[in-house]
Amino acid sequence: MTTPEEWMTQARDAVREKPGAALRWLAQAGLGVGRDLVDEASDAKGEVLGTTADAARADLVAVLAVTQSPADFATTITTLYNQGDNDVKRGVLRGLNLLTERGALPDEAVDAGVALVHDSFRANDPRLVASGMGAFAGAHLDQETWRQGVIKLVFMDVSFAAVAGLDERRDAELERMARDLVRERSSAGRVITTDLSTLAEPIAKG
Amino acid sequence: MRIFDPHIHMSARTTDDYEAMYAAGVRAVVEPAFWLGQPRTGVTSFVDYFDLITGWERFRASQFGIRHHATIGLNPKEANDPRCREVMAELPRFLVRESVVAIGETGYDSMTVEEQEVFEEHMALALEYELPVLVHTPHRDKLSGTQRTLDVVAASGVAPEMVVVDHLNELTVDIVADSGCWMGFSIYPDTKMDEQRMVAILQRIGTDRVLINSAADWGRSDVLKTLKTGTLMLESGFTEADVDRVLWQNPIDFYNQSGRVDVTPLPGFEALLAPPLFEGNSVQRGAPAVQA
Repeated sequence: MTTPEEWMTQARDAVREKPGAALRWLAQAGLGVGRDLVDEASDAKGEVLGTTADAARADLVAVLAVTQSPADFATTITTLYNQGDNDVKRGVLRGLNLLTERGALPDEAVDAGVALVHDSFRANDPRLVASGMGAFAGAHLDQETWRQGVIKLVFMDVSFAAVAGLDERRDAELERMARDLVRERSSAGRVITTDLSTLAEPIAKG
Repeated sequence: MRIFDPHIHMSARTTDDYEAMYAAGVRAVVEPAFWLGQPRTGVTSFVDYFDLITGWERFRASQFGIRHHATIGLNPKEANDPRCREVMAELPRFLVRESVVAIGETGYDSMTVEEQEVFEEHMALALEYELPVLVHTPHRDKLSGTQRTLDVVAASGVAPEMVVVDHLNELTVDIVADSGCWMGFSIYPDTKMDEQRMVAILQRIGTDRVLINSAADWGRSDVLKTLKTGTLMLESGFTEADVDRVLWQNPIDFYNQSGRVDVTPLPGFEALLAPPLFEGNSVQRGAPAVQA
């Protein structure tokens, strides 16, 4: 029986040696390292912090980033995202988040990643949309799309803890959208979450 | 009663069905790739459908406390269309997915040369990817179709215990039993099998290698036929352990030859009530049920 650590070592070596075979390793990361929630207490649906498999996939994407040229890496993440299931798509997005947190990404990777984030916003799976709103989107997504992403999370009942850089990037337009939504939900007698009501209040920016 | 429906097309069903299934004890399903009623005309239709049954549908089921798995393949009816056949080249990227527990539905519909070639290609993929196979048997000319199906399986090199031959009836069950393959039965309101006939077959052949499914889809069908068959089994003198064997353990034993079956309770839903009889069984995975 392979332990998660052994599986991870095998996967990293395999991906480094043959980036073209990365799909199989990303696809089966759940079997390799398990699918436990990273923090069940604070993130019971795995939307914010994800699972151990999400982390493994992000790690492998980061390995690809240092193994391949920027152009090849951009092609690889696009292929992985397009050919993978939602677990793999999430892993690619989380990999981009991880790389963003570690430092600057080459332009090729940013361009490819932005296209993938746009795709993720068309999905109806909250875990996927949440992964698309992490550090990468916080740093690279245009303001208009980013605002739509934030409001989409409200509709999907995803905590704003999934949004990287919310306080830095929120603006008057996003607050107006939030106020309109509060009005719509109030008139329908629906619950207003704390996230939404907080967003509807303008905050003083330093 | 805990139920694993080993063949059900949930993407054609409603959320009401999911709720009724959960209430009836269904905790896991397998959704085989199949035709949609309306013939497809190209590869991208298949690719999107495969993404649907391994993605959105799996997520949708999880919202109702049900573990969802899929089988992937080019169904025999559409194997006859050269535009659809090109999807065979796209199968490998789906076969590595954790949600995919078998290849299928494959097999014969009208017993054409094209169907046989595609069936044989699927059997070769089963060897390569070490996955079980779900084989559909034709509605017309069923007995000879089933015999030819078994011939293809025998020639393929795939072990018979890795294959379930589905949609059987009184006339086709015995040759499949003798082959060593698993025996699948679809319980339908009008056609295929009904509960009474199913119980009569079980009384004759026992519960080994038997899978019972609702095969519910967009046609007139009933997602609770598994429960109804289990209930009639109990009324007919079968024990609860027999019912659990057929409706829960057998599907796990068959599909987990892929190593990918997950029947752990979904977080947030009441824990599975596992009868003590099955504790210690190596196939059952996950934490023991919460004691009520």
